[in-house]
Amino acid sequence: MMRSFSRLFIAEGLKMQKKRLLLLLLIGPLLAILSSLSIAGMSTNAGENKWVMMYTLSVFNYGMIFFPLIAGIFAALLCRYENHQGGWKLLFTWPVSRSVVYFAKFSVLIVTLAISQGIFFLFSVGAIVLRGDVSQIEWVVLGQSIFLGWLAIIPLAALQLWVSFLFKSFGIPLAINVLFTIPNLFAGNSQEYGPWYPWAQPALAMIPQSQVVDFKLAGIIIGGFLLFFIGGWMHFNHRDMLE
Amino acid sequence: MILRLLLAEGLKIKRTWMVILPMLGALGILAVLIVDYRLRSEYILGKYPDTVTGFLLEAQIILPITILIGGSLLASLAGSMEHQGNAWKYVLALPVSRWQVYLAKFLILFFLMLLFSGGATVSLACLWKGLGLTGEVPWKTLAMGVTWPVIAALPVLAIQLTLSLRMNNQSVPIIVGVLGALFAPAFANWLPWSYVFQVVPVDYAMSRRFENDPSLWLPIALGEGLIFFIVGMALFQRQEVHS
Repeated sequence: MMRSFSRLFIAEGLKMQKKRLLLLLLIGPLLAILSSLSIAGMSTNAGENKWVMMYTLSVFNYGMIFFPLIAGIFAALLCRYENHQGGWKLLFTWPVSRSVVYFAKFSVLIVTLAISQGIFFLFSVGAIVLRGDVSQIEWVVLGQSIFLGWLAIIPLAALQLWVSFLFKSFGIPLAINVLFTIPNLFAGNSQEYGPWYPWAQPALAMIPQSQVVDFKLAGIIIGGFLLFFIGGWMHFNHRDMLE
Repeated sequence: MILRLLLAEGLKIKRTWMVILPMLGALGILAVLIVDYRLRSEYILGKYPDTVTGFLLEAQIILPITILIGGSLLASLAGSMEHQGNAWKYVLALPVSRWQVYLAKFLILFFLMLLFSGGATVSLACLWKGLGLTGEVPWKTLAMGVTWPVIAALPVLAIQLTLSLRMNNQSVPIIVGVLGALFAPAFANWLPWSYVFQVVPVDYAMSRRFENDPSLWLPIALGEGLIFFIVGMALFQRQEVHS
């Protein structure tokens, strides 16, 4: 079980084209940070925690649209080979269980998203150093924001993986993701509805705060993860593979 | 000839998501504006000089981003249809020239965008009625308010269609469209993605960043759209087809 998981994990990793992956992962955080630098550079408001303001701007730039979208794109990329060339049947003729295939794909997806968070972290620190606020950084707050953002994207990743293996076309899961991501600009600002919206959860979880974890948001995220992960997994196991 | 190609393209998108997407986009805008006016209608009515101006500027929260990202998505769906079916060789083996194929794709894309602006005009008018705002429904201003941004999006549509036709894997075109829509306006107002934000048909300076001036930016967008269209056509003409 463990062995076939690790092998499939490596196989799924190989299927992702590294160059394209790196390009997709680098460009979003880079632009998010640059644009928040250019906006934060204009404001003359010299508060104590200037890095927090700059970082919060980047979180909105990156977490509201780019991060949910990249989760959908990677989920669709992970199922692309199987959907396009009738690979599902080939994959399932191997002596591996469907569950392990699903776990492997899901693991590659969340590891990729963790890398995206890591890149965002590095760029954020780089921008703060550039501005000369490095002595003010509260590393715990920053680290917590990055980590919670990653946890909060996992339900959405599970949902997008589900949608991606369901539709043969590459465009449909992306279209669904884009359709639901755009209202984020709006839903994310609402205290009441925001936490219930899977596309808004990453950005909400990433807003830097020094107090303890928001239990309502955490509960919804865990519930959402169980729903989408188990739902997708069960459906994946019991689905007829036509090609 | 081009009419028959258009009919063929129309047949290809019949009963696909592509026809439903513009309508969903228009409904999404309606939904967001309903929530917006419900939450803070008094604030909105007090903020702007008159109702129509307020109406169109509130629509700016969501309209330009929807047009840009929705347009990229439609371009990707239209451009990737033959990639998915490995049908480029068949299409290009037909006795039609390549520029006609490109033109037909572009016209269908623009037609879908106009469908969106029609739907959005109707939803804005419904909202106007539903809110019981004073005076007649300003059909002409509302129609201009949603159609001008669509026309201003022509350069972006040409870029996206070219990218989607060239690339087999649609993840890069989608990311380019999304990042352009999100970040270009923060960098410079002369970038092709920025025009959509700068053509609101009201006499109102939103901020220093957004230089709203339809009489300046619409002709620029049209000219640039034509240039990018011709460049895209030339590129498609010389493109090597593998499948």
